[in-house]
Amino acid sequence: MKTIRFTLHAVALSAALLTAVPAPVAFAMTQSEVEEGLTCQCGCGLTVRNCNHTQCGFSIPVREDIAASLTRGESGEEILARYAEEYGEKVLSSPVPEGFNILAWVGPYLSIVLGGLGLAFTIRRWARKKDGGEGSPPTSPPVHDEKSRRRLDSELESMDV
Amino acid sequence: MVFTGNFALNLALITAAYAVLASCYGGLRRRADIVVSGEHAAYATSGLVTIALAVMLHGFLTSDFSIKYVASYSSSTLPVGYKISALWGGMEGSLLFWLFILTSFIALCIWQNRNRNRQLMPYVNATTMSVALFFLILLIFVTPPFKLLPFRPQGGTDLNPLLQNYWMQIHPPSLYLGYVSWTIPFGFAIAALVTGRLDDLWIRTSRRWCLMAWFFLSLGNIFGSRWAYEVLGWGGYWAWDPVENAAIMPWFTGTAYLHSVMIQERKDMLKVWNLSLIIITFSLTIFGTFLTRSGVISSVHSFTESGMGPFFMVFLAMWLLISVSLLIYRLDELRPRHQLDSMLSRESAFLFNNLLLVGLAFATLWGTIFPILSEWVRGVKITVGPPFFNQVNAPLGIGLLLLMGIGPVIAWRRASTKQLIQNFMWPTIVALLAGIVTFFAGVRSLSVVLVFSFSTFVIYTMVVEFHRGAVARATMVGESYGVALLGLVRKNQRRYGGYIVHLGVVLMFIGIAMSSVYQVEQQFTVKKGESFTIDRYTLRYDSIKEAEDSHVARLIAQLTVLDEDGNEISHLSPEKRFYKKPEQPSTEVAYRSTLRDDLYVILGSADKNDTATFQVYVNPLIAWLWIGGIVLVLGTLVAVYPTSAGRARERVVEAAAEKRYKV
Repeated sequence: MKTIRFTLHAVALSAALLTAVPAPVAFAMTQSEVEEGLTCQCGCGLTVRNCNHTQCGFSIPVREDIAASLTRGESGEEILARYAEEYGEKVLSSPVPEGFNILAWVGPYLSIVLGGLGLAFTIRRWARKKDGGEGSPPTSPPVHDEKSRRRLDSELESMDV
Repeated sequence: MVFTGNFALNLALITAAYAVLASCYGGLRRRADIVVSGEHAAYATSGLVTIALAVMLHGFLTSDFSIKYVASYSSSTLPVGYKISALWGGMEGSLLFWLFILTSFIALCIWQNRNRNRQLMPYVNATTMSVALFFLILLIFVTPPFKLLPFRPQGGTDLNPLLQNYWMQIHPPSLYLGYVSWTIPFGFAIAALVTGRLDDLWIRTSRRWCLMAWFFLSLGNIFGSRWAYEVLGWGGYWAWDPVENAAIMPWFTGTAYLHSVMIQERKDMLKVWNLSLIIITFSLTIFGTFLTRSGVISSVHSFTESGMGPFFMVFLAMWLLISVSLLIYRLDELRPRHQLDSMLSRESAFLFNNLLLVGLAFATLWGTIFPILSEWVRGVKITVGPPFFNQVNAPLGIGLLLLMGIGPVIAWRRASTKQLIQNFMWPTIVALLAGIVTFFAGVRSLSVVLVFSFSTFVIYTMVVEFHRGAVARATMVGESYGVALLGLVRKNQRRYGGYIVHLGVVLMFIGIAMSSVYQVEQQFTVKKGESFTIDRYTLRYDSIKEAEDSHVARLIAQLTVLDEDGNEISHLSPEKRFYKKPEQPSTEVAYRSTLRDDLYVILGSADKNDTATFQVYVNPLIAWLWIGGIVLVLGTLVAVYPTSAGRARERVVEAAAEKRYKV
């Protein structure tokens, strides 16, 4: 029963973490969000919003175009898609969560979820062994009574390094 | 002089190779005389590399432009301070500087251990000198630093203007010190695996090296962020550039090691994990050097593309293969003698802290190399930039912040329900209140509310820890509260130094969260005498003036800053600079920093019609990022500061371990 409950918790945790993968944006993107979504092509390595070249041939006209496009009623997603079509995917500052690119978003969370599950299972197995829980061989009676145990804990605490 | 430099490097190649071979042979055959000769060869290598570095430095200080490297990164008008820092401004010089630090550290390590750890030292020497040998091979066969030009030019090309900044004089050396220091613990880890001395001797011996590596890596990253903030002029300090990622990844895994090693010391477990963390951290330092110098990933920080990428890959693969093979070979002996008692324990909190730190390192690595994977698999170039890293790493960082609060409060071994309620009730209540206050103060970003709430949790638990300890000590010893507090820290520097480091990290989190989410930015084009308003500041454009010397021409705007009541509070002078060699424009930002926010101004352009364009940012609470950095540094110093009592305790523990091992 405990195992089932633990597994359910683990699945819920995994699901919660995986929802961190960006979903399609449902609200209107602001000017700075669209600028942040594009990588400057001048070689500065920054986003269009952050490019620090005062006479940059890419970021300055793109910022103006974004402002004008948003005023015209074009959505942020449409602007990003237009630039991706013109310059290729490399102009987008983060991978579009589609196809192979999903791996980019899921990879880190998946590894942490799997690592976390592995860690949790290991600690639980160790703890059960110590407690003489289900599946573990019978253990000898505890050496320390509760009073000694509390004393040991308190001494360990004071020795804390 | 150039002949001397080349000769010294070539001779160093021979002595380094001898040091590796003699140490291995002497160690395996138990020939103390050969081991010592290997150590002498390492000393000689260090001396020879120092001579080569001195030759290069002499070249810079005397403007010897017949040396191609000096001509490429210096000029006769370059100030002396920058002539010295130009040493690490390019590929060859930076590798030479790196090698100098490495061989100096190896020599220091051998000297420290001349009368102890004799069983480990041959393999420590062989491992660390193999790294030195690798860098010597690069310097002699791939990118020789002492190449001569066919003619002697009148003046050099000069140092990149972006590097002509005092942060650049201290940022790369700090980073290199951090990177290179990890080689020594790695050497001890390999020596422990080879000799089978798998107790915590290697950990205790390399502890100070680890802390030093972590300290300098922290400093390097903080200085680099400060440089980006002051020089790059985009209102931020961290852009998740591949080279920045290369510097932060070993910091994450190194931090994980510093925490998990405590469990090995206390409970004699996690040996495989700790060895793996050291191997990973060392590998990431080499990988970072590879990223910066191979040209495989484009970055604003990287050096010129070179043919050294395959060399790095082979070297890295070789050491990973050796390390993993040794780990597998010793796996049975590395099995833990103890196991964890409960999920609800400080040990578990440490392990989950490790999971998140290694997760952060992996997420950063994954994002850094994903463009290469995409090109291999799909043939499509993509960019993985700041939005990706912010989105992926922010939740992990916030989780880590929470664990930083839980760790010190939860009991070792097993926390009972009563203890949990007792220890967590008040911190949780205070943290919830902080979250509510933050929300009602107008903060609507969930991540910022969480950061404030968890930060309060951490600070509250830390203050209580200090207070309880001081009260207990004052009662027992009869000291005043202040003296007891100092005595408490002095008696257990590592623990309380660690808490101070945590406090620094908390302050940095607050600065990062607020300045990232609530940064205000606007561009203004105004005429002389006109004013503009951003956030709580009004700025008046007063004048523009020109200044010029032999090195640089400057256009300096004068701005007066007024507060909400119209009172003058400051004057700012952002500049545009035009460096003459190489001909390159640059911006010099001006900022007014307070504990509440930074007003940050960049001069975009100015024309003869008295019109100027300014890019202006208001970065809330950003000063706390730098204050947190200072606190972190102070905390580390408290943790590592050597005391006679500490040294005596170490000697007793070492002697006991040595005796136990011999029996």
